[in-house]
Amino acid sequence: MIKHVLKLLWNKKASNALMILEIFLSFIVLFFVLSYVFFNLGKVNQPLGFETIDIWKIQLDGVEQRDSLEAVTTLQNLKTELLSMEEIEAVSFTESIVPFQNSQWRTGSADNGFQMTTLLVPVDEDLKKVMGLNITEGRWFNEDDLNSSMKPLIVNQEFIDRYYPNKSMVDSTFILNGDRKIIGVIDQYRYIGEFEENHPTVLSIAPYFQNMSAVLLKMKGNTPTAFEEKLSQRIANTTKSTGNVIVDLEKERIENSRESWVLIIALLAICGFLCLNVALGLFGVLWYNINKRKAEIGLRQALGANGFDITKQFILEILVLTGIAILIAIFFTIQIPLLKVTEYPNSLFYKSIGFSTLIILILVTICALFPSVQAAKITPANSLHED
Amino acid sequence: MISNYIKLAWRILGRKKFFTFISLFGISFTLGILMVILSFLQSELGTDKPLTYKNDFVYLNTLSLKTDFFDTIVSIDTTFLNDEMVLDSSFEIKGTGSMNWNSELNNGIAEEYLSDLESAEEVSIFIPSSEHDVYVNGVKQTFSALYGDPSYWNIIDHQMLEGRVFDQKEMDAVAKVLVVSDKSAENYFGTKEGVLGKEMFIDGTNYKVIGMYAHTGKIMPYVSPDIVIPYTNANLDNQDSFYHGFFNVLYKKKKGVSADKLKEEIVYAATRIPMDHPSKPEGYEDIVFRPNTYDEDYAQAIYYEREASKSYSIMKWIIISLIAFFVILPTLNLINLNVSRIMDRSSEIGVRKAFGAHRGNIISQFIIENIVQTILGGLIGFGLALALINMINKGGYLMNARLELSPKFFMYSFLVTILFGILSGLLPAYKMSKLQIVNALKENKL
Repeated sequence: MIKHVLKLLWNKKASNALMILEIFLSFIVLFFVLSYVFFNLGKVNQPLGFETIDIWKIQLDGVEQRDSLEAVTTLQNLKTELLSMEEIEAVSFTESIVPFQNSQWRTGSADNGFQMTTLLVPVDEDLKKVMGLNITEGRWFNEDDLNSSMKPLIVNQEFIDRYYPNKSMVDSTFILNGDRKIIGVIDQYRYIGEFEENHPTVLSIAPYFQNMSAVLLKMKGNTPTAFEEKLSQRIANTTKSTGNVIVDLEKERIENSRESWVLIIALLAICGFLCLNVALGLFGVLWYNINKRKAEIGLRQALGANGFDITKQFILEILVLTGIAILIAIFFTIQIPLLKVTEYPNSLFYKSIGFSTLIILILVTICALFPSVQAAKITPANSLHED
Repeated sequence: MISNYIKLAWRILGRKKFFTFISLFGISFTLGILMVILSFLQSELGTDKPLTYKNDFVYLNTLSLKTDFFDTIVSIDTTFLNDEMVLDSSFEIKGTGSMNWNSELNNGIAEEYLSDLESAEEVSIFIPSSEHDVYVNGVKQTFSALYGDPSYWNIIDHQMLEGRVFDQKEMDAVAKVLVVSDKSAENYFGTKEGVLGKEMFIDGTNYKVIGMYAHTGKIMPYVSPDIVIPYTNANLDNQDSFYHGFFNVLYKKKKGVSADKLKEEIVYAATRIPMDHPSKPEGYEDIVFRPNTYDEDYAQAIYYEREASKSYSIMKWIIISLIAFFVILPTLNLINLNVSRIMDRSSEIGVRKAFGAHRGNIISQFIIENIVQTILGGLIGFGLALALINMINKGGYLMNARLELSPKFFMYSFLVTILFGILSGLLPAYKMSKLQIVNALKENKL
């Protein structure tokens, strides 16, 4: 049977080559789009590690570089002022590294006996309360930590998994611009955004009220947005500066991810259209070709083939054709994980190859099914009789 | 003759409705999406207002303080020459890395060292985007302000709707005036009419509106700010006192001078900046400028490489290959469909050939048929593109970008449509023209 099918395909090699090329290209497009989508969905599916609902962020305008004594007093006043408002539950001051801001502090060294890079986030002791960070091991910073001889650090789980797998690092010393002590582990703090990979991250307690340029506020639930204007007034009065910007963190999270979602949806839509287009084209070609081979079908039926045999032959024909195209495509795409062309995990590409193969096979089978079943209904009386 | 072909094409479209539907579906979708991409490229990278002089732009947004580290590696070989030990030593100096501190520029540096270059026709120094919260009737609105100078208006060609822009005198006098975009005027005042002379309360100061320009949505913030204020009004207390700051420099090069020449002059200007200012951070030895053209800067904003020209070439190839992939598949699909369909017409071709038609006649007939089909698909695609563009603009799915329909866009869309028709018709037409009269007429009922 296979031999017969191969011979039939070989007889029309020119037009079949075009079909193979089309299926091959569809596979390649599917492969890249799926890899991109899987990679990004993998990132989004991880939790951010912090709350965004009922949290407001204030970007302070020009406090950080004022004469430092004045700045400290201003910020201290601001904190008292903010805490005195009943709509505000908790207040955390940070440097420029705040959620969804695109600013990051990356540092690396080989001081610990291996090459490592990590994100560094200076925080204050109230950040956990405001953002709802989750401590999985050890403890959070307390007031004494600022004065301790060995500055404490809190690391995320990714840091442990990557650099000290299966070890408890709590109370261990770690060299990061001097000797530091790891006091706790949080599960995650992916502050850059939902579409950012989970990097090793280190939180370090910063001297209070120095270089602070942003404030995070935990608001009571259902605080009306009209409160923003009042808040803005109060901040302006305290800091003597009017350029402060207030944002709702939940809104910013949605805004921050929107471009990435738009791109993913646009890619999927275009890819879906291409697949539909190819499927319809394939359907048309198959239907046409099968109609042209009525005589052949009639002859086979006259020789005793039943409807199922006929359907089987046509489906086998198209599946062999598709198989050839897919094999060529797999040969090329599998080089990416095999030769480690990219830094992305191999499993991602194997998954995309698997799904692309599946999607193409299903599409092609559906396209072939209808014309083949039609073909099986042809009777010798119709097809062999000529006027 | 051609009108005959077109009539024939029309008939054939109606004959096999299902195949016509499949072809038109593919053509219209492909062309529709291509038109959206064209519209995006045309609005963002074309030379419509306000980017009229875009191809003459050279943009500098970073001052980079830099120190390179070198290691001297000494290797000593000892050999015995005439029973005496000889030392043969060699030195190798190897770069082992560098330390960089990148930030935007201080206006003092820009005014003093960067504003008088030979190849530049216009120089504008500005803070590209400074966001201010404004409360209008209790509702917060965020305005993106550009703190600029009078030259800004000569480089970015905004269409002025009313009033005027500020001049150097007002700049020096720190006049509280601003120029507003029509969209922001509507957001702030609730109307576009008669806003000249009114006041806007921005960043704790009342500014008088002296002019209004047409808002154009562009991704680059300095091309479509909400309001433009003379930069002498900006709060510059937090600027590093000498090197770094908040400013960018935009040049319009002189006609006939290459952008590379101007870039060289900017790079050279870095050497004139003194390195002994007390505010210079410890340990940095050099200043490096990396000026870019508009397209390079745009590519760098999307895909960051330190050399913007590299970003540009990477982006260019990504876009070209994406479009190529996107066009090749439907084209192949159409070719496949057409190749199978022409057999239907073999008797017609046989007869035409028997009556003396050349291969060229047959090819042109089929291609014209195909173009008629593509134009029909192109029209549907155009409707689709309009709907998509409208949706994108309304929903703001492409950041601040507003896709626009310019005459150039229509021209390009039409060209793409025709090209697609020729491309997808060529192979089937060629195949059809090869048909022998005998074979064509032998078995078929006429």
